[in-house]
Amino acid sequence: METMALTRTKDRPRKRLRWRPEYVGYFYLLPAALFFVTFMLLPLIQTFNLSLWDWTGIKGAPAEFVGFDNYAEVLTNPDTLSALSHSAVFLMTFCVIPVTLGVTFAALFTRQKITGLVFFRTVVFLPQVIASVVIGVTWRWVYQDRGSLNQFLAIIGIESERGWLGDFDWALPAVGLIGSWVMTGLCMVLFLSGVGRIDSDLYDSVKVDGGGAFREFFSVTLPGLRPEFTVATTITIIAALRTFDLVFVTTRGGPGKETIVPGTEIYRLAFREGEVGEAATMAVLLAVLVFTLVRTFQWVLRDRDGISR
Amino acid sequence: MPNVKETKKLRRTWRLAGLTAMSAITALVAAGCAPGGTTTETAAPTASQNNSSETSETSGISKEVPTDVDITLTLATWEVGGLFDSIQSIVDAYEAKYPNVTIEIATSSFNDYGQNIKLQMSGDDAPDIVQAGQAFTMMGPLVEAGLMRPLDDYAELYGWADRFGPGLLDQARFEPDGSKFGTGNLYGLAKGGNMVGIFYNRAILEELGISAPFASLADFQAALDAADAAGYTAMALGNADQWPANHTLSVLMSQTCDNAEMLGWIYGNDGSDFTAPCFLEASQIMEDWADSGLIDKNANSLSFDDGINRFAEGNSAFFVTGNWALPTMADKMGDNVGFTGFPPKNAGGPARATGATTSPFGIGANTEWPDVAANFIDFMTGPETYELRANGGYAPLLTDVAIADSTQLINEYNAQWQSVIADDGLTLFLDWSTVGMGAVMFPGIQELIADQVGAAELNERIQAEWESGRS
Repeated sequence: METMALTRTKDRPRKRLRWRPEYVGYFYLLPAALFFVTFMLLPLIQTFNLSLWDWTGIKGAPAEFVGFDNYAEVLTNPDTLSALSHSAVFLMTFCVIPVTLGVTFAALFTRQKITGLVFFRTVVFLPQVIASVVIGVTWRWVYQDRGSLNQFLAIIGIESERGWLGDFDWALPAVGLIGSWVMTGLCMVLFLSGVGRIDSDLYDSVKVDGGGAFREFFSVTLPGLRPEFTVATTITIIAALRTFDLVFVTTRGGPGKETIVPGTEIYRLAFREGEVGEAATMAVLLAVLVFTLVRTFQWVLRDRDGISR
Repeated sequence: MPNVKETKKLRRTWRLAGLTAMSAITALVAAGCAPGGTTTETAAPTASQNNSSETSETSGISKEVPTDVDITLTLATWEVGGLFDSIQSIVDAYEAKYPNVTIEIATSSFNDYGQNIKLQMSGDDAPDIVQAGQAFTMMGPLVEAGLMRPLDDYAELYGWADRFGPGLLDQARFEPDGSKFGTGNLYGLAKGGNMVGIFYNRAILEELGISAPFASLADFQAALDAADAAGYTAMALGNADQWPANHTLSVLMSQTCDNAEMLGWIYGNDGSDFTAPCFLEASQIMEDWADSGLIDKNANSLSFDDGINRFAEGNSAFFVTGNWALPTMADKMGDNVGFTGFPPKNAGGPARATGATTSPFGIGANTEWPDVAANFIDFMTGPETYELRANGGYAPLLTDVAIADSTQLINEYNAQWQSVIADDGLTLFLDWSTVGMGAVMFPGIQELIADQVGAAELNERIQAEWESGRS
């Protein structure tokens, strides 16, 4: 602020100190700004600062400034790459599947009045309300060798004694699909509310023009849901990339290292191995990745011609 | 939607905010804002300085507790439940013995304790008596920072070496610079211990006509095969938590390896090699067990507790784990569960088992009353308070005390424990060797029992972590 005011003084010296009534608005911002700076911005900066040090995380322990060595260390660690590849799978199961399912269901509801919609909506939204530890423990039972998944498979004639979360091929998709289960409800509720907002005249005009269900979907529903797409992809991408609790509760990154993700790596580095610098580095890289991906999607889904809203 | 002018203004504000943040970062970094408050330049006093001051005091140490002055000591611990009650009762007994001494117990949860203990130890109100887990996670950093007082002089004064086998003391030793453990100064004394062995289903063994204990590994192998042939799961195991199976591997190595070779590797002695034949033999046995279906094939998908539940259902003959499972086993299976030691490789071999003392108690380097603190530690770990420790669930480290009769299960455990302790046969925990060992070894063993990696490759991988983690 200061520098800007100074440069301005050159051409408009008199305006410099004049109080303008609308400035009072900034005072209303103050509590929120203070909160933001204290609990969001400063920790963020501190995390970045930590990523430049070699430090055990024990208060009072000597720390050594290593610059960007931690970044080289983390980026060359093969585990980092495998953790990121698992995140890519989670992008499919946390983001692509729920968004697709959500929009499909929402589109179906535009064609058909559903009785008991409120009940149905509550049920599919329920996973959002349950603590993720509870979700993890529950699914651990579902995926057990004697769990309900294998019981279900037995009903349809597939006998399986597989413990899915302990299986080297299936553990990763199994954990990922828990994410689908959690996020689908959220996406569906989002898209349903979006569908409700679309002007029903638009559907009528499609009908008048002789368009069928597909025409309705691609010409009205899909474009009309663009803002919801932005919100849904943003939330699910973030959930996919930063997931930790679900993995930690179900597999701890195992079997072997089949389900390690950046989140579990950060935990391991910080709390198991006392490499707080490397953990912070991983956290910074993850934040950058999340930010980049989310921004990219928001840019792709941006309102190009300002039709909606 | 805001108009264009406002948008531009907003953007400018954001750009400004960004600049402010960037300059804050730069300032922070430029100012050398070290986490934890100290940089290497202002490192804590080195251990050698500490030692020199210690030497001058050595002649002045005494067993006597002054009775003419009020003394208050702080004891820091993370124990809970029965183990905590046991500490409390020992403190009460000590305060009754020396009315002028007050011992305040400062507890915190295990995680908080590990994070804060070093700060506390370097502060003005540093605890006088401090619990510090063996190896590099806790004791190492405290010793490195010169915050713990070496106890060798008191050990000599009180004759601790006669009371405890050398192996029980060695695991609380550290080089003064904190670089290596198992050798160097003594920094603590423990109240009890833990040990891995074989839990078994009495009914199944009776049905199969097998009786414990087993004389040799071959006998145990025969029992596993018999259980398997009879349609039982030979060995139940819940390994989704990743660590449990490492005790099975480790207790096998306790038999295939010479004690010195195994401890040498854990202590990080030069030339130790996890790819050596005795380590490889154990990994190979474990791989064979898994491949031939003797270990529950779903072990990797079951939590440790679920594994115990499966064992308690009565379709599994054996479960290899430590005495921490005793209460749960007794609770779930009653009289139908027995305990026997892991058999030596050859009949008549020494009694060896994975296990260690509980986390030792040491003395803060800055305590005003080292004599009293040492006297209390002697009291806490000595014969006088044996029963108070046993009541709390500590397996006794002393060999010259009679162990009270208990349930059949606990009697069986104590019998094996006594013979291992008498032979100084605890072989510690493999993941103590380096800070990162657990993260390499535990997932690796999951791979081993799922046939994803062979014994030789696993041991090479573990040795590679040992080499890099030691430096």
